[in-house]
Amino acid sequence: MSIYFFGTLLIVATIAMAAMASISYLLVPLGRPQALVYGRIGTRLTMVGVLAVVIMLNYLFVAQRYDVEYVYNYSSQELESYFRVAAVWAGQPGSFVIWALWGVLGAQFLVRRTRHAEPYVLSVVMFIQCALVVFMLIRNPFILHVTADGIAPTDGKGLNPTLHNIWMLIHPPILFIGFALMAVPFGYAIAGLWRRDYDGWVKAALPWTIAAWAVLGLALLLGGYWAYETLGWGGYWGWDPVENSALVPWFTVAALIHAMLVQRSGGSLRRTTAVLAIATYVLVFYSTFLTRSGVLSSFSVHSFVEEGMKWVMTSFLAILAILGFGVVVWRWRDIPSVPMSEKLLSRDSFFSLMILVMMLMAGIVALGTSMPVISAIPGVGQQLQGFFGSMFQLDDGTTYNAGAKPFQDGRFGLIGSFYSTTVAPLGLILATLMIVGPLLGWRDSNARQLLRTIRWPGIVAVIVTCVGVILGARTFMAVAYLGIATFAIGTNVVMIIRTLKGGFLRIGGYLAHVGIMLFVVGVVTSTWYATPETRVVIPEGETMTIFGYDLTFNGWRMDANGRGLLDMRVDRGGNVSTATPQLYFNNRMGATMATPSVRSEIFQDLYISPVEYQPPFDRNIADLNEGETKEVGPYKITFNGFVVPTDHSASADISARLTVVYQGKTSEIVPGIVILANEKDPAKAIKEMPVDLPGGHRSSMAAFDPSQKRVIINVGGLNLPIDPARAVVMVTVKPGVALVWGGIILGVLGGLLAVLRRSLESGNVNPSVWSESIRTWVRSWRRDNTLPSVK
Amino acid sequence: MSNMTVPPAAKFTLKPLHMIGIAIILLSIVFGYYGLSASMRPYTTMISEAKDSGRGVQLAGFLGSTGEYNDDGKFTFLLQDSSGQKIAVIYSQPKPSNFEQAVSIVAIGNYDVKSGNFIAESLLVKCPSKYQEQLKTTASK
Repeated sequence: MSIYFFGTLLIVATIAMAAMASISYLLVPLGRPQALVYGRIGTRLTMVGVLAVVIMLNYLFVAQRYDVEYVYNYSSQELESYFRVAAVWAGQPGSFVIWALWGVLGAQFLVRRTRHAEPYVLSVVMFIQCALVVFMLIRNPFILHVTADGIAPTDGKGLNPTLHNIWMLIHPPILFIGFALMAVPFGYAIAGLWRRDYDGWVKAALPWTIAAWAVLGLALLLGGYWAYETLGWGGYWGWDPVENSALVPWFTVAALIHAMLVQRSGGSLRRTTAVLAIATYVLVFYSTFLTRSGVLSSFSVHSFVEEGMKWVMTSFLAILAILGFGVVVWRWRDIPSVPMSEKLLSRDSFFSLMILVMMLMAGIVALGTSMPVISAIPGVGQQLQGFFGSMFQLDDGTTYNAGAKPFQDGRFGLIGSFYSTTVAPLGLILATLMIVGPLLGWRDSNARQLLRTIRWPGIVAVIVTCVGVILGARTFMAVAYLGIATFAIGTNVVMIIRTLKGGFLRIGGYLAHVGIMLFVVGVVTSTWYATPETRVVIPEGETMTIFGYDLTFNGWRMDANGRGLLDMRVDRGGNVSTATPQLYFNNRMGATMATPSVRSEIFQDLYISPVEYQPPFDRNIADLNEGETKEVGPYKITFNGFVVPTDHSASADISARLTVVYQGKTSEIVPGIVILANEKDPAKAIKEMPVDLPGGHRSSMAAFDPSQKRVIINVGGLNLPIDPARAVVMVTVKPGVALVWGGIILGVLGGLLAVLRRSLESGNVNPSVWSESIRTWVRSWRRDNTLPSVK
Repeated sequence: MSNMTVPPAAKFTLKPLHMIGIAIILLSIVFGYYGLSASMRPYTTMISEAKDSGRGVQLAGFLGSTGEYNDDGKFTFLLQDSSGQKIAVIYSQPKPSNFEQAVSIVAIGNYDVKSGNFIAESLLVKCPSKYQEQLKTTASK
């Protein structure tokens, strides 16, 4: 049985199983309770099916079956075995199946945990998995590689070198765990609305939602680190559509968590939670649609060209949106609304402002990222260009009116500055809310007490801001961010200290706040106070000093993996390290590979991007194309073409016709080489035929390339200096990058703590031996066993 | 979550909370407008259009020459549009890693009247689908 047939059969069977599970579960609330068992069986079998597909793909990669198109495209003999496993998710179908794998594994837990909501939640979740496997089938990875001569290839094209590193092993799977987790609140929300259980679903879905936030945050961090450390995009964030599209659901899921907390404490914001839970997942899919359907291929560096996915993905997106929002509309009037606290100084108020800001930020980023798609609608692009395009800033700061003539192609995109001008002020508001919000009671707070609490954090913030200004913070935004973020860190630390008395599990949220604010400080310092990217040319063996670092270039060499690198020594006040930015031409990819080198210190990173390696330049040599003229010492040499005699019986010889100008006098010379036909000694077989030059030096043909019509002429006796090789690199120092990573890690840790706490609270953790022991262990850490909402 | 009995909807009054909310929304609309005006880069496949507009654009075309570093150390190459017109593009960043493979190239930046060159802020190099797909997965974060 052929791989293609068997593999495709597996995929189709998996789709059928997932569809069976989804439909059977759907039948349960429609009056057929006996269908439940088929739903469960279908869910189990889908897992078996997806696992089988993944195992089979893995097998094909490990067994090096290059007769399979997918394996041929993404693997090669030289690839290490663990990278063959990772190569599974190097392309579209593989990444869909990994996403589905996490989805079906999650579904197995949901079967046991969802209780009454089981048929509703699982019907939705299995429907999504079904769609993911359908997407995979469209780009069937089991298609065989057809060659012209019908012989199966013995080696593949290989994994792109930029994917060939540790981040490829961990970033994509974690990203897809995040995406898979996002489906759970979506399923729960639909279940809650359908069952008219408007509060129960929130309690059950909360830990999953926080987990989705934490995991997606971790994935964003890893992706950013990958871009920063390996891909050399200059920074950790470039506002590229691919990055933005994962950021938008991260924003909305943060809003969702806060809405859920408000609802859990006082019962308000029921509609908001439902809308947010559904919108978040629709956005996850929208982002997948944007980056995978090819609609952005003219606007993103790393977007897919269209591959027939567009219409299938558009339809599925439409189904999700209509289904999800349809259920909300259906129940809208039925959802009892509970008024929020009237007091401004209450968590209710601050949380709802936070939700508003988060939604605005998500909306702005989503809108900006969608602009190429929106403006592609016939007529719309020209209209928008007329509206927004008439006024714009020129480089010299003047505002210029073009006479507002829209471009013929109505499409337009936005550059990164759009996001920094819009998201930065909103982020500042968010940080401000974070100063006070956590200190408040849910319904009301005592203003006097509040002021007393924020006294110390406020003083600390003022001091830090002053230090920042002394160190060079100048722009309004930077100073404001520094002050407000430190203030927020202070008050959240106060809350951590207070809540620790009630058990360490309850600090999760505050810890996440501290992490995010540290991250923000890191972003501010590393973006606005990085040194300008400076081009440095270092001759081999010499040392250049820049930004307090002594850079010595030791030469270009190959490492053990055949990657070329610039070997450099970095010295800052006696603290020596080596930097090896990679720069080489990869024949397999037909591209120059460039990987930066980062030296991370506590307060700053030294970032070295390779630009160019200039090989040694010998002034005694002229490297000439036909018709080209170059100067060597006192001579001006022009290459007029090769002379190849017609008779080759005894020897083959080739000469170059040169025009030489020396002290105003022109002469023609023909240096060349002879290859003797009957000479056994190779050293004697090739003989140079040098020609004397008018100035007393000798010219000889050092090398020639008849196909490129190129010759290298060596002028002997001049003894001109040879310029050493040079490394050309871009150097920049970015302060505070460690805070970017550290902040997110702290935020993720806080999120995970919150997941643990909310799981215990919602009874989501099964009373198995394992979780019971955790529960007891956790209880032993708590002073009290009650679980009130925070004071 | 105790309060399940719903009081009749009170008459809506503008509370401080609402005013703050409205202010935030207005603020984001204002910033959004300015952001859009300043950061909009219309897409064009005609060099003449890019020259005439005088503003920042996304100019899509094909490679008209191999790239090289000029005397200022800036990366430069010729971009050719569908009508065959050519323009020198100057880019202050290092050469994009997949430049040699470019099927088509999108230069984001603006035409500089004084020098007659196109000053690119960034370059999108479009490569054959396979390579692109790999790069894409790289960045699917």
